[in-house]
Amino acid sequence: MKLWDVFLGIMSAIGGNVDIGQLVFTIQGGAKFGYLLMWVVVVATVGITIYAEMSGRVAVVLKKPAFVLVRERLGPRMGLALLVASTLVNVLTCTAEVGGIGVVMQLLFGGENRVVMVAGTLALLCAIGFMKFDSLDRMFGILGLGLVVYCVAAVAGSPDWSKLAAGFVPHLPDTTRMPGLDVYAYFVVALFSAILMPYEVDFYSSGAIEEKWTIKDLPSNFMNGVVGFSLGGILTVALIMVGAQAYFGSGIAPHLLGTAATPIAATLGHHALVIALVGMLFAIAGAAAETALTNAYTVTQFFGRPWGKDKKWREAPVFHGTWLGSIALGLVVSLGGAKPLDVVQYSVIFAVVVLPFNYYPIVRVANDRELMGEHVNKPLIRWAGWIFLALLTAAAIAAVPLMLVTHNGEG
Amino acid sequence: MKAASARKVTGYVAAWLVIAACAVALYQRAASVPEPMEPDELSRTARQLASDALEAQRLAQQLGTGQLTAHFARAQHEQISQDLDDIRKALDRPPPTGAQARVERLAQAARRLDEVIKTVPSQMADAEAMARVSDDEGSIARDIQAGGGS
Repeated sequence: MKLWDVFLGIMSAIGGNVDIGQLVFTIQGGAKFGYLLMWVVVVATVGITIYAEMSGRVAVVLKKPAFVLVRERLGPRMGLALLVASTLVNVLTCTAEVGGIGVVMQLLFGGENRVVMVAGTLALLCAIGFMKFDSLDRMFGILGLGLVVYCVAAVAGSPDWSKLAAGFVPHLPDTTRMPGLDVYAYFVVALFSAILMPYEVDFYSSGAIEEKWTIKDLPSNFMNGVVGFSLGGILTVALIMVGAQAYFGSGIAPHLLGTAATPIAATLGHHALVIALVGMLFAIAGAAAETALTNAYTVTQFFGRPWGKDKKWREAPVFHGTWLGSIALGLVVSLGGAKPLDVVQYSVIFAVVVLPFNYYPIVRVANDRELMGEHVNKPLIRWAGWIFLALLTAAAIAAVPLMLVTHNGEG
Repeated sequence: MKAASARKVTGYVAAWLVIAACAVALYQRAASVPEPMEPDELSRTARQLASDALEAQRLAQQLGTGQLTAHFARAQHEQISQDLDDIRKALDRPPPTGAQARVERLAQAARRLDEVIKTVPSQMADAEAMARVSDDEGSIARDIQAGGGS
């Protein structure tokens, strides 16, 4: 792999790191709790970096993507249950992303919401259908880099640096100025889940096989994982900063996608607003493509059917039918009036319930010296993998009760 | 063998629990009688309405200083207007005991805000008009927060 490919891989990992769930929970989290949730971004970013690198390494060494490991390690029944749950979560996420495409296109170009949603989705289908895997992955990731204006706006918005630094140390909210502990816990779990969405790792490990990575590419896998996701984490921090600077204590609860973009206009003007919206559009469209393709990967890998983005339709009909069906279903539900920001709240919370089952087989296999040989997890990574699995399990147990108690974080 | 039959029993029990839960949920929906809105729900609705008014006020200020694009402003106002529809539908439910007057004030504020928002597209290039709209929306937000709202 050339240096230029590594650079593009890192850039697309940054731009492709943010999806509609992160946009929603970061801006809302900043509006409700100021800089208090920064530590969650650090913890979750370390988690996604470790799991992504691990899943990429396992895929390269064993030539087995995540869902083949799920079937082997959890058994056919438990594996099937996880497949059904993951597929439903991915369809929910895809629905939110497709609805988000409609909203952002309307914010950019005007027109009737449903018309632009259909137009945007058709363009997305064409892109997935006709572009090669690596071009597709990079196009969405690199054009999603428009979101970097949030980093500029975060710094230009004169942040209180000492409060920002304090946010990286976990502490409880001041409930005289902020919502209660239950809402805080809900946002901790939701933000954690939004950053660690299971489709990201399933897609990443399948992508490693799609791009025919070999053992020689393991350093690039490490760089993509560590540098790409870490820089993506900085973007997530910037989103919370912008949410906090624009909305904390203002009485505005950002519950529309456009509300996440108005602070950019206020700080940097209308050209920056357009760049932010373009970044949002491609980040969201990229996530829609990833969730749909992840459904195709997991279903075909689980049932041992031919799979691969670059395979012809007649060579892998189930694979192509599944991603197409996922997007079509998302479009139908969105056209039926489902609000993307409502849907994404459910998808993020249900995703956290699935997460431990998804990551467990990866950790087990990456720790297995017989299978992985010299590429087995180092002791530090082994411990980190188990600690994150314990954190994910705690978050999975707490997620649904917190959602019910806090009325989706409304308090 | 024992483990296999235990898994089978667990599977049956789980399936029947899911079926029973679905049946209970469907029955509850079919047999629902009119119930007043919970006071907490009314407070959330009021907060949401105040939030919409404050956001609309901020958009008007930004339009006045040329910070927003035309399509963005139009689409965002349309989204807020749709949100106000949902708020009005929520306020159509039977109010909590003793909160009839508050619900009426909120419904009236939602109508006023929607009327103001719908005037924005035709005058969004006029900074003075946007200043007036911003004042109106700010006044609605204050009314909600003072009386009808929190």
